[in-house]
Amino acid sequence: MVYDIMITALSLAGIYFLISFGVTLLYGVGGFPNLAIGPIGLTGAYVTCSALRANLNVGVCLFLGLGTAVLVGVLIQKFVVEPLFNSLGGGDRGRIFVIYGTFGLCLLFPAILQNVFKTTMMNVRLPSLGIYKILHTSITGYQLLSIGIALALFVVPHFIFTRTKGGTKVRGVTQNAFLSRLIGVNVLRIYTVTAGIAAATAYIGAILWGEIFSLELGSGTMFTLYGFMISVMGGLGSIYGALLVSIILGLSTSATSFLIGGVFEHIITTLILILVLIFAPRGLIPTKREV
Amino acid sequence: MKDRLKWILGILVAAFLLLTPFLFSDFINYLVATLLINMLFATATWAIFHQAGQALFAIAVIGGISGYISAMLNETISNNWVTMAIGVAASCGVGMFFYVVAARVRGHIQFATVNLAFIFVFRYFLVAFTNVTKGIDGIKVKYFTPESFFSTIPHRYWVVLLITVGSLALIYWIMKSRFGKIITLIGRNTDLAASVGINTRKYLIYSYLIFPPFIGLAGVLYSHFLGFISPDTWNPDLSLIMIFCSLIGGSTMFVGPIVGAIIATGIPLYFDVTAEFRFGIVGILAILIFVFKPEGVAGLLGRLFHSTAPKIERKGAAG
Repeated sequence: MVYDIMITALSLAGIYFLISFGVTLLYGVGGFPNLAIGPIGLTGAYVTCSALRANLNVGVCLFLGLGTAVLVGVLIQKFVVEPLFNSLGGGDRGRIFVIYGTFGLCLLFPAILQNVFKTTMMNVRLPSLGIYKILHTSITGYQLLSIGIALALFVVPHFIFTRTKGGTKVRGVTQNAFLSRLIGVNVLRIYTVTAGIAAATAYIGAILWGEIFSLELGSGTMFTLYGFMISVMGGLGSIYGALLVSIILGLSTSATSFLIGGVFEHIITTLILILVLIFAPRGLIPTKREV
Repeated sequence: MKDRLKWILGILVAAFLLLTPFLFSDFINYLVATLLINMLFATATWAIFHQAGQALFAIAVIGGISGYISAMLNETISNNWVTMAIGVAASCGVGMFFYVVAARVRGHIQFATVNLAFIFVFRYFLVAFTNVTKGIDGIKVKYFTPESFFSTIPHRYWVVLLITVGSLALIYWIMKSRFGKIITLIGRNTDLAASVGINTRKYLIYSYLIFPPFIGLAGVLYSHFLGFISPDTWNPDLSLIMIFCSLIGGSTMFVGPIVGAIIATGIPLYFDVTAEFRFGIVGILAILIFVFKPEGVAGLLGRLFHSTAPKIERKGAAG
């Protein structure tokens, strides 16, 4: 049972990290709390599922879903997030209104998805990647993949941010967007690219969640909630914090599900959120982001 | 002339509210009662959120806890007025809980995330403790006591009208008092308030103790008026729609959330949209109004009123 809990915890941590990565990146780079990120990923996943049902090539289905998620993510960034943020001159007040606007979208998306796709539940039926035996327990290929992609997402951005010119620019924008704009950095383009990457990771998270569990209209809201809780607990904008909290929540969710029952998962997670914020108000690994 | 117009408008609104049970069907009575409760929700939300500047928007949680406590106590205590009072008192406790979290958590985003988590987890909480809350099936709540008298919608409508108008008048009085002015200053600029010697912590504690009970009152009124309470009533949409009401009506004046509640309740009915899209229409409207006309509909109407009143006076003088 302990091995089962551990394996489930690790794969959950992988997916949680994928979902929270988008939230963390968007907040870390631009200071935008985009709550529609979960439904954006879910929209892409629904497109992929519909294309799979129509017996299209798997690669085409994945590409269509990814493209849709990125497009919707960038459009929301350009036409909802940035105008709302700038309408109040940025700052904390601007962020609060981005939260309301995107929270509104988050609640509106299920109705749109239901009307477009005419279904409430979707099963992702990707080709099997096999089942493997590790530590006396079995793990599916997609569970392994979620762990692998999460690790890659942790390592690759670190490399990009510290070793490349583009990464240095992003770090500059993260620390002070105003000064970056003064020295000629195209800040808006960086925000757009960031929104695209965030949407793509949310899509991958949604697809893996759908392959391991299943997708429903409310999944997007759940992804958003977990993405935000992880990001806030880890320290807003901190990739390291997000990974640490993803592992903690993966373990707590898995243990709760096995020991008490699935219905208590979200309650335990909220309790952890409150405890973390009471004892570490700026998160477990806070960043030094300038507002 | 302006005063006379205000009086005429006030008398017309009062006449409509008082005559509704005699002139209209039960369905219209039900709609107006729901609108009144929404006004109370929206105005209490406006006071804590827009005036006191606290990002407390777990409205569904506060209203839901009060409603559920009153409904659950109904099984042992037969007098509903007592259970309603306990439900409202419980919302003080919920308010204090949120104050402790707000005082400890740094930053609006963190506090907003805690609110979000509670809004979404509330449903799971109700389902997890099904033996007490009856889960997704909900609880059949007794109407106001004596139940035989309040079994008809018009009779229950009078209770809602009386309590809502009384509560709105009380909120108005609070906001016009010294306390209201101080809390508004704290909401606008906490540092400035502290610099003139105001104990901001004390006043924020008071605001968390004073305004959530109005949200709780709206919650218990709604459940006892309907005679039923379930997790579906206290969904995340409710919290956001109440904030949108102030944005639509205008967040700088007392009538803003009231006007906003009328629009937010009326527009989806007028356009006959399904429940899922009701939220979308209200949300889009709120954001558009906020971005392009931050003073809101009440502000626009007020400006129109002020710009037409002198013309009427001049015309009257000329004639």
